[in-house]
Formats: sequence, structure tokens, C-alpha cells
Amino acid sequence: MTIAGYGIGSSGARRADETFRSLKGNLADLQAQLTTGRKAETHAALGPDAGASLDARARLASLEGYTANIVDAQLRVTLMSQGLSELESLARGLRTGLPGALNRTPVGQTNAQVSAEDGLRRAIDVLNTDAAGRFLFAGRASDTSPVAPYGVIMEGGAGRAGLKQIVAERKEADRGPDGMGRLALASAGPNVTLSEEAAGLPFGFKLVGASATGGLSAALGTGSPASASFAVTSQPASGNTVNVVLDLPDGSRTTLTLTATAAGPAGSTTGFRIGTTAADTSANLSAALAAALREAGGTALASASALQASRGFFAGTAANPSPRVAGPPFASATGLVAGSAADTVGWYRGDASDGSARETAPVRTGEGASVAIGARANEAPFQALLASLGALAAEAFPEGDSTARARYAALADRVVAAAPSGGIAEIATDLSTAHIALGQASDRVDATRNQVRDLIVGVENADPSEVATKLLETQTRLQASYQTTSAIARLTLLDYL
Amino acid sequence: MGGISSSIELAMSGLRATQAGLDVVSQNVANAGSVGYTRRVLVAGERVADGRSMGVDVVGASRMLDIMVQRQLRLEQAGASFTAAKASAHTSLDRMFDRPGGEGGLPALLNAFTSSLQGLANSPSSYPHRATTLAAASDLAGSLNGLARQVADLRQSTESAIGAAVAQADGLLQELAAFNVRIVAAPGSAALEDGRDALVDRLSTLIDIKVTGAANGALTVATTGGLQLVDGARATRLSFDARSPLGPDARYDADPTRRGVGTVTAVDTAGNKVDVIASGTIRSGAIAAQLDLRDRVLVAAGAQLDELAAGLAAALSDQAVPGVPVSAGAASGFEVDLASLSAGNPVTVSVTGPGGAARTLTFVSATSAAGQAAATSTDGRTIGLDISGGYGSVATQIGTALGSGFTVSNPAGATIRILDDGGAGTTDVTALSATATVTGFASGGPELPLFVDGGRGDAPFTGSFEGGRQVAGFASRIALHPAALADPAKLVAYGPGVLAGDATRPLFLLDRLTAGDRSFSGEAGIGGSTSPYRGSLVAFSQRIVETQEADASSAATLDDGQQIVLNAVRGRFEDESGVNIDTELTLLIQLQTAYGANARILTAAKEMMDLLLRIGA
Repeated sequence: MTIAGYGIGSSGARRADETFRSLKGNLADLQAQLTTGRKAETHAALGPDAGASLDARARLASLEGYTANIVDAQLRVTLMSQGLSELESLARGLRTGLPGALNRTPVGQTNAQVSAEDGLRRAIDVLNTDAAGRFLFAGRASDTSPVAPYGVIMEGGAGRAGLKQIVAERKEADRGPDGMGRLALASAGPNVTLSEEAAGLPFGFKLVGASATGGLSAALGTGSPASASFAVTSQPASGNTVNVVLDLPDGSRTTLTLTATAAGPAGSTTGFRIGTTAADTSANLSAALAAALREAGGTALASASALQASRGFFAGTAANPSPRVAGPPFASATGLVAGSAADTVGWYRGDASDGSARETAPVRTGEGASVAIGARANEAPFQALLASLGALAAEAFPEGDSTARARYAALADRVVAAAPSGGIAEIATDLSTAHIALGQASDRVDATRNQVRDLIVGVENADPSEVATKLLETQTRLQASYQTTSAIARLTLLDYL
Repeated sequence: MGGISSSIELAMSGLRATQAGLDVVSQNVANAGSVGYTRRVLVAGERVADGRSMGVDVVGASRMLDIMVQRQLRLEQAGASFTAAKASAHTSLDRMFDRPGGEGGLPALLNAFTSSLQGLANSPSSYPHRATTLAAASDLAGSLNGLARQVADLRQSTESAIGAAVAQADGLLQELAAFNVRIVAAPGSAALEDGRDALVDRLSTLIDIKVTGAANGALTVATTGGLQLVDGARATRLSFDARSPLGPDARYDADPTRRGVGTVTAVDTAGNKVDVIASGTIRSGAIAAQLDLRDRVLVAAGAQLDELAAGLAAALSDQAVPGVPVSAGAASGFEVDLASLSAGNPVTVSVTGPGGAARTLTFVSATSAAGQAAATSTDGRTIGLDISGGYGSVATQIGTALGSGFTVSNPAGATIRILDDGGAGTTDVTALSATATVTGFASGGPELPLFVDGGRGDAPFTGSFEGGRQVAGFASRIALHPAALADPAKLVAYGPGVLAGDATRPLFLLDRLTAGDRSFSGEAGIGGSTSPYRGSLVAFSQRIVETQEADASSAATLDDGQQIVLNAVRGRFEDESGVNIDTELTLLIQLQTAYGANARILTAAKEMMDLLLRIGA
């Protein structure tokens, strides 16, 4: 190897200058790495790792999006679960609390009845829960509070009928003008005939069975409208009975039993006096039937009617409100007509679409993974609870009303029988399953996110100890170069001439 | 004849020669730091008369020059200025995409947009999420606008740089010719030659040249590509017709009527004009680098951004119009309704036969003859389809393109029916579909025209060819639909009666961006022109940055390598031709000694003369 000369203007000196500059550049670069903690300020400087950095950054952004979704969804599920357990306890209260309240007086002030109003208010409150402006029980219509306020539901307003009015109308229609539940009673000689007012009438009692013992006979007619005929074929013995089985509008069934007695009070609703002749007995039976029907019409039928009206009301929506009794007059009404948004309150203003309520709020928790946490206030278990609470709240049981206790007992029986059991728990189970799924998804996303972060740190970040070592090494090299260069540059023949 | 007087004469000539040598040394030492100065050495020879030495003759000072090294140095200089210009431009392009992990870079903004859609899909009715999504979309459009403008500005400044470089080269050529004239008139002037070499050096950074010397001292300069630049006293004139502003579709073309950018024109002394770019006679140096940047690198960078912008707009607004299988008698095929198609929307037909070969034809809608011609690609991959003349005409056009064996008809409305040859069984129609751009927000489908062509009156982006390719420069014009900005609810409501919490549209948009399998035009230089890049939009944006990164890295590496080669050659050249003080000082000592020796001879001769005179006295 030849060694070229070294001195002022020689190429060696110029090359030394370039070496210095490049070393100094390295120093500045390393210093910047130490300060910022980043390996590179451009993608090019990262070299082949730039692709990894870009991919990881995109993945990180999407994972962080998932995390934000999961955190938000977990909050929503927690809120919904709390609401559901409150609804559960309301439903439980209906099943267990109502019968106990029967023995207290006055019934108008019973806890159960007062708490039905309160319960309905609480249920409405729960179903209108919102999280950051998002209504959790509104399905996809998450920007609207799904349930109308209590006052509007009960009382209506602005020309629209509320639950109370609808219950009252239905009750009138079910009881009929004479209070006998739209049944007609006729008696001729030893025969008594009970028949429905018209075939297919949606109101009142429905005759489904008739039986008798002893000298009494009973038969269901085969024609239409339905009818039942009773005959005193021979004078009955005391204790012989006539039974009429009636279906009520809410689907429940009641049986009127009239017992023949030798001497009983007139106007009894449970028995009839054996007359001197079969025709007398028949007339007594007819009168007793009428009294019994009127009594049942004021209690069992009225309660069933209230419950049915309430169910119909809560089955409607804002767009398709509950059907209304065609009238007035309501007592002689023969059919139901569709309610319209203009004349009837629609209690539910949320998403009324068909299909799974859960799927109305899917939460993306990963690539192709999704957890459904939607709910709609008009799901069947919620409707049933609201209908029960609504029927209780809409009914009045004033102190002076002689039928109040019987009506209350009948309504309580029905509400207890119809109280939702299980439906709300199923929704709660859906949500707790979703909560678990969200937790698992969160763990999964966190783990992946940490991996991706590690990757990014490995690719983009400068290792301080490595940088410091390099810095020291470069500094030493630069110092050594400076010293030798200056020593060589001082060596010139000029000094020795 | 010998004698003392001749000794005196010889010593005198020696003294003169030493004096001249001292001159040369002092000149070398004085110019030790001058750029372009080549070391001089004294050329001295024996003076001979009648076969006898009459002393030493100073012939002159000659330059220490290795022609081969000089020639190599000039080539490497051209190469180095080529790589340096490209590395600098690539670094600028790479820096546009922000540092890795930066918040403002294109990939980061696209990530922010998809993240905001994730949030919106989770809470479609939330106003903050809707507003965030719109803001992220707006940032993204703004970033694309900014990047596209930067690329356009870079291209425009490249055009100016070419103009300046060509003007400089032209000036150097005229000066070189003038130097040639002076050197031929006064041969052997080292100073003139040094001056001329300095000009050639400067020229060699602009253009790759080869230089040959003539006997009379004149230089001939030509490019390595064979373009004669200087021949003796004659210099070619170089000129550049810079264009401004350069449109996104402005390209170089050998045909002057289709050329949208400036070109370098060489006019020789006979008046012959040559388009230097078309002839390919400049291959390296700063001018070639700038031309390459203007015509290839920056065009590709712009096309990448345009493709990304077009992909972004189309991904959100493209609605598939599926073909429906039909049959008529023995013939079977497909029907498709083209009523919703706009100019630029494609219709794809897949057929086999006649002859068993499978073909897929892509028709691109146009609404004028000019648009149809523009939509027809030269490589036959797309065929323009003029839909302005009614659907009967459309059927005819498709039938013509498919050839025999197919029946194309327009049974009703905008429906096109393509049937095979039925019983003969030599042809088959295997698929027929179209893609339409959704232009409204409440079409009932989740697609929406969120991004529009802000430079064309907020027209929807359809990839139209009417009035110029819409995709050209789209990145600089992409904007948010003003109706979406005015009503963020449009991000969710895809039809009448759609509920505010319906996640259908946000989820669809998210999937289209992150999981969609789109095809991107090969013009962008990603994936190659014959096998265009396929992947999601997000992936494509990453590939853009990676491509720029890889280009910048390789340009920098190439430049580093070239600078090392240049330094090595320059080192060799300077070792040969540069001044080394130690050498000069050693020479000085030798000259001092020689001067003393010559002087000693004179003294001796004088003493001898004195002695002779004393004898006579």
C-alpha cells in the first residue's frame, strides 16, 4: 500500500475534513436519539423496519379503538344490569308482595297499590337510562328516551288518551250497559237461557262451560252466538248446584257456582232459593245468575278488563298505538279500532324494529368479533311488567267503594298470575354473558396491544445504553482523529529549513 | 571548443534554469490551495550545438495531469451530482410522511379516521363521535391536499431547476468554445488550460460528458449519449422551454402537441434542432437527475397520492350492481341494470369462448366520444363505453367488443342482457356486474359520497374521463361533501326512517377502509403496472410510505456509494495533480543546492581567470 503525502491542500487533508464532518454528524444524530428516545426522524432512516412500524401503528390504532369500544360497552352493560336488577325486584314484589297486602285496610292505601305507581315510575326511569346521551333501552333509536313520561302514560294529554282512559273505556265495553258482561239472560217456565250478546264480540264474558247437579240440567248451546241453557227438570235438593264457566278478556277463567238452598236471602250471588214450583225455582235461579254476573262483572271482569287494556296499551308503540274501543258509547261497543298517534298515547318511542334486541347495539371487540348488548324497552318481559304495574296504577280503589276489596283481590290474583317471571332474568343473563365476553375481549385486546407496543418500542425507540455507548465510542474516535490529524499537520519540512 | 568562458556560459544557463525552477516552486506553493490548479513542473533540456552541450534550456512549465484519471473524475462527478439530486428529492418526499409514529403523517391520519369510525360504529347516535369522524375525515382530505401540493410544488421547482441548469450548461458551452479559440491561438498556456478544465469540471456536474483533445489544443466535448456539445470554436446551443404551472396530467411526450412539460432543445451551429429528452442523449448529471425526478419519481409520487384519494372516495361510495342470471331458450347469460352508472363507472363481463379461452372485459362508462376515447386504454385493459347514446347503443358497443358468439341486447330500460350461443355451446357468459357511484346520502344503501371532487364543484368522484382524467390531481382536490359537514347525522342515516343508533353505515365504512380488497392502478408504481396492488386502503397507504421510504433509502445509499467513489477518484487526481508542500520544499532544497553549485562553478572559473591574468602580469 502506498501512503500518500499529507499536508496543506493535499487530498488527505481534505478527506480528513470529510471524516470529521461525518463523525460529527453521527454525534449529532446520536445526541438527538438520546434526547428524543427515537431511533429515526424519517421512515427512510428506519430502513426495512419502516414497514413493521407502519403496520404496528395501524394495528395499535385499531386495537385502541377496540379498547375504547369495550370500556364504553362495559359501562353501558353495568348500567343496564343495575337497571335490570331493579326491574327484577319490582317483578318479584308483584309476585310476593301483592297477596300479602290484601289483608290491610283500606286497600286504596295499600303499599302494593301505592308502590305500583311508584314501581311504574321507577320502571320507566330504568328503561329511560342513558349513558352519555345514549339511551340504553331504545334499541337503535339511541337518541330518544324510549318510554314516555309517567304522567303522559297515565293521563294522556293534548287530545290523546292515556292508560287510565283506555282502561275505563275497555271496562265499560266489557261490562256492558247492564253490568252483566255482555251476556243476556232470559227465562221462560223452567228454562233459563244465558247467551252472549253477539257472535265474535271481543268484550265481556265468554261462555265456555255449564254444568248442574240433581234435578237441574245444564247444556252449552251449539249455535252462534254461544249460549248456555239451564232447566229445572225436577225440583233440586238443597245443595244441588249450577256452574257456569266463563272466560275473561285477559285469558283467565272464572266459575260462577250457584247453590240451591231451602231458604236463602234474596239477591244472593252464590245461591238461589228452591221455589214452590220448578218455574219458581227457575225464576230464582235466573235472578241469582243475574246478581252473580253483575258481581263478577264488577270485580273479576273489571280487573281482567283493566289488565287486558293495560296489556293492549303496552303492546302498542308510538307509531302503532294500542287499539281502542269503538265508541262512544263504549258500553254497547261491538269492536276495537286501531288507535292513532293523534288520539292515543304511544308509550314506546324507541326502535320498534323486529329482530334480536341484543343485536341493535353490536360492539366490535376485535377483527370479526362482536358482542351484542342492545335492549329495547318493548321487549315482552318489560311489556308484561309495565302492563301489570300499569293496570294496578290505573285502577282506583277508593275507601267508600264496596267492591274495592274484591276488585283489588281479583286484580292482585291476576297480576300475580301474569307477573313476569324469568323473562327479565333472561335478558340479565344475556347481558352478564356479554359482560364476560367483553372482559375476555378486553384481556385479549390488551395482551395484543402490549405486544404491538413492544414491537413499536423495539422498532422505533432507541436503546439509551446502546446510544450512550455508541456516543462514547464516536467521541473517542473523533478525539483521536483530531489529535493525530493535528500532530501530522504540524509535521512539515518548513519547520526544519 | 572548450574553455573557461564556456564553463561560465554553462553555469549561467544552470543558474537561469534554477531560477526558473524556483519560480515554478513558488508558484506551486502559492497555489497550493487553489481549486482547479494543477501542479506545474519545470521542463528543462540540454542545449546542444554542433554535438556539444551548450548548457541547459528551459522549455517551459508543464502541467502534471493524468488524462485518464481526469476523464474518470468527470464521469464520477456527473454520477455524483445525479445521485445527490435524487437523494435530496427522495429525502424531501420521505419527510412529507412525518416521522414514524408522528401524529400528522398520512398513515396516522388514516388510522385516526378508521379509529373514529370504530367509535362511531359503537355509538352511532353520539354527536361527539359524529363530529370527531367528520373532523378526522377532513384532516385526512386536508393532508392529502397538502401532500399533493407539496409534490406538485416539488415538480414545479424541478422544472425551474432544469431551466436554470440548462441555461448554466449553455453558458459553459459558449465559454468553452471561446477558450478553445484562445488556446489554439496561444498554445501551451497552462493557465488557460486550467481555466478551461475548470469549465469542463463544472459542466460535468450538469451533464455526463466525454472530452477529447485535438492536436491544436482545442477540446471536443460530447455527452456520453453522443450529443456533440463543443467542437473547437463551435458550441451547441441548449435551451429549455419551462412550463408553468405544471398540471397533474402534464407529461413529457416526444410529440410537441401532447407535451405538457418543458424539454431540452439542442441547436447545433448548422441550425439542426434535437429534442434531447426524446433522443436520450443526456443520461447522468444534475440535468438528467432533475428530468428523472420530474418525469418519473414525482409523477409516481403524485399518482400514489391520487390513487389513495381516489380509493378513499370510491371505497365509501362504490355500490356493486350485481348481474342477474337469465336464460332465453337454450341460451343463458346475465342481465344488469346500468341506470345508476355515471361516467367513469365500470361494467365487467367475463366470458369464455369461442375457442375455450376465458376473457374478462372491463368497460368504463363515458358520456362523450372524447371521454370514450380517453377511457379506452392503449393496452386494452379498459374499453370506453359511451352511455350517452342510449342503452341500445351500449348493447351494440358491448356486442362489438365481445365479438361473435354472443347476443347483447337491451330488453328494457337501462338493462343490458348478454347471452351465449345456447345450443351450439361454444361460448359461455360466466359473470356480469357493474359498479355505480352513490351520489346521495339517503339512497337506502350504506355507501355515501363522503369525499367529493372539491376542484370540480363538489362533483362525486366517479373516476370519470370527461374533461380530463378525474383521478389526475384528485389528491389535491379531494374534499368533504358540504352536505355531510352541514349535517353529521348523514354519517348514520342511510335512508328515510333509519334510526340514530343504527351502526350499519359506520360499520360498513370501517370495513371498506380496513378490510376491503381494492385494486390500485399500477401507475402509482406500487405492485407493478401489469399486476396492480390489491389490498385494503389502509394497507395501500402504508405501502406508499414504505415505497417512498425504500426509494429514499436506496437513493441515499446510492449517493453515499457514489460520493465514496468520487472521493477516491478525486484523491487519485489530487495526488497526481495537486501541490504537495513537502515535495515542493524538497525540490526547493535541491534547487538551492544546484544554485550554489552553479555559483561555485562561476567562482571557480573566476578564480581560474584571475590566476591566468596573474601569470600574464
